[in-house]
Amino acid sequence: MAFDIKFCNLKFVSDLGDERKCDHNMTPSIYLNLTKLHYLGSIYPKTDPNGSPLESLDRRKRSLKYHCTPDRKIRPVPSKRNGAAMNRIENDPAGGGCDNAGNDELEEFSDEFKCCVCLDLIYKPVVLACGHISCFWCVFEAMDYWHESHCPVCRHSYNHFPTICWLLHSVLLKLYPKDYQRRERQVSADEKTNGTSSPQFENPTNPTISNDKTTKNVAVGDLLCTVCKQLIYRPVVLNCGHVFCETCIVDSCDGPCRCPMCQSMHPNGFPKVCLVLEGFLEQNVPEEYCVRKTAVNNRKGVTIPGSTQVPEGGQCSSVSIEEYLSNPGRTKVHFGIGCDFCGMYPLVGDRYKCEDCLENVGLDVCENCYKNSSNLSGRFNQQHKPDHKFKIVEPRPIIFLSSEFPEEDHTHVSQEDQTDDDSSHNSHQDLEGGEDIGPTS
Amino acid sequence: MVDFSRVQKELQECNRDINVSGISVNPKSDNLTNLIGTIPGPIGTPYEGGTFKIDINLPDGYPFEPPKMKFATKVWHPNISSQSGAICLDILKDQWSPALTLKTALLSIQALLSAPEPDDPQDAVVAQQYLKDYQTFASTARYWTESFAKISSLGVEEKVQKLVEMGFPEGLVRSTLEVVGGDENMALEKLCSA
Repeated sequence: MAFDIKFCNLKFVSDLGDERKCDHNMTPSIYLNLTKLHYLGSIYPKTDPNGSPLESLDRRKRSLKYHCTPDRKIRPVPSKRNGAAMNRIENDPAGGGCDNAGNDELEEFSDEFKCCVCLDLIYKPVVLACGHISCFWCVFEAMDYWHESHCPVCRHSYNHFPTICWLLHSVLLKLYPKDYQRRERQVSADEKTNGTSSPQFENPTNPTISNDKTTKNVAVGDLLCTVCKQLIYRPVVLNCGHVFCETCIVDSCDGPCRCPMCQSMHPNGFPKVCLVLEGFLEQNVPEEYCVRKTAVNNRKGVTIPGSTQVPEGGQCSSVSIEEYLSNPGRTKVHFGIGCDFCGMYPLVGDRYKCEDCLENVGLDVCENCYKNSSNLSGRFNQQHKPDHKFKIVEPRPIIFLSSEFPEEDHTHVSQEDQTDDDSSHNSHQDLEGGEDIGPTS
Repeated sequence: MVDFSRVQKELQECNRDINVSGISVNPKSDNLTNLIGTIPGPIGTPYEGGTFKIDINLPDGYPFEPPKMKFATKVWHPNISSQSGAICLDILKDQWSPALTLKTALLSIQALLSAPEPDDPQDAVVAQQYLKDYQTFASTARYWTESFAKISSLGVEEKVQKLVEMGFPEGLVRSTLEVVGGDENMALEKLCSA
């Protein structure tokens, strides 16, 4: 997966330690050996070199992907009724004409299944290592271009984009079929205008939930852990999207744990219990869950992996981005590029790009996945075939547009406020003004 | 483009419990990128009784980028510019998270009103006054609240009557009120200390 980075407002220090300011005439090759990045965002005066993203660049990134959302007019809010009724009224204009069908009987979904980013029912759920859930696109959009990303809810850091949890997807589809289908229509309409695509539910190895329409409850048989063959107790969701009992995951001391089902690594630290899923299990099959609970609690001498202190973050299959920044000159970072297989974003190390995938988003994998996985597939529904050829691609050069870097003192004297605002405004205009100078890749 | 369906949801959610939080958000124009938020001044602070308006501007990347907020009502506070209304608050800058909403941001601003951070100031003059002469700071803040953040302050006659009832001579009350610019609290302070 790749998105264009064309413009940024960066200053860099080369290997030799000399500081350069860049203008657009400098040749890209000069920048290949970037070692240390300094963010000089005038919007974020408190930003430290390894801190948060530059606002203006971030905005470029967003607008690249956001250009599609149609302009929507506000509708007067009729009256204060309950949440579901409001949602119903609300969703009409939001989703365009195609949403109207079947809107008359939308289910009222539980707040637990409301995505904290789009504030709608979670669609194609992705569970982060901290156990918090968001929609596929919401997680993707919220990820950091330059550094490790942070969970929107708890700010837990991670640098691998997890795969969709298909079990949770089926559960949601079962619980709220109409609302979930409404979301599906909405998202696929957005994807169509965006020219993007999210994974489709087709993999036969993923657990499915029987589509028995007579009952709203999900059968216990569909909620089994593939390791212990029992009802999942304290569910954890791995980077590959598979769900297991917390106790069934082997916590290997040397390196990240692996998925017992697909053997892929879980690089985002030891996974935390997904409380929303646990809450669902407790509610959906209370008796069976209670039985499991007592059974596990009675088993003496079993340590719950989560209770042994696992250091937070930092356990990655590859060199972490922060490590790279503090340890320059060793590895390459491909800003804005992610590994399609393990989800590492940005991609660190050698980047293998598929030469035959024609989708805009492209298909890239990291060195580790390239060497260790035989059956590579894309994360954005790319039509990748095993006979496709890969080539190693160097990090893309970063073109610097703004030659002026306003050094900003954090403490303002009130009279200066107005001028500060003006200067930041100007720098945005500079960025946008030079739009056509960047490379197209 | 801003995720407008989310903004609409936020507006409804926020205005639903307006009676509890006192916080409201309303669109300024009809494209939903310019909004006006109002927060009541926290009780027990010099801002008590005031209603503060906050100018909200949603950037293209919202909710993945923080909303731009600044005070439209003049306010005397170490972390808010007395000139431009610019707010110094981490969640409106690098600590923003897409899980935050306009309402939670406004709640944080309300919390900032009750807990100023003079060591990390936006307005150096106010911060210095806060650290060196808290009494003057508090009365200035109160005066600004009284002058700029009161929607319907008492009429002059009502204030006079109130103070006269406390036992001050009417002539003195009127002249004192005039001196302090109509602020009954300041007038009372002055009358007591005279």
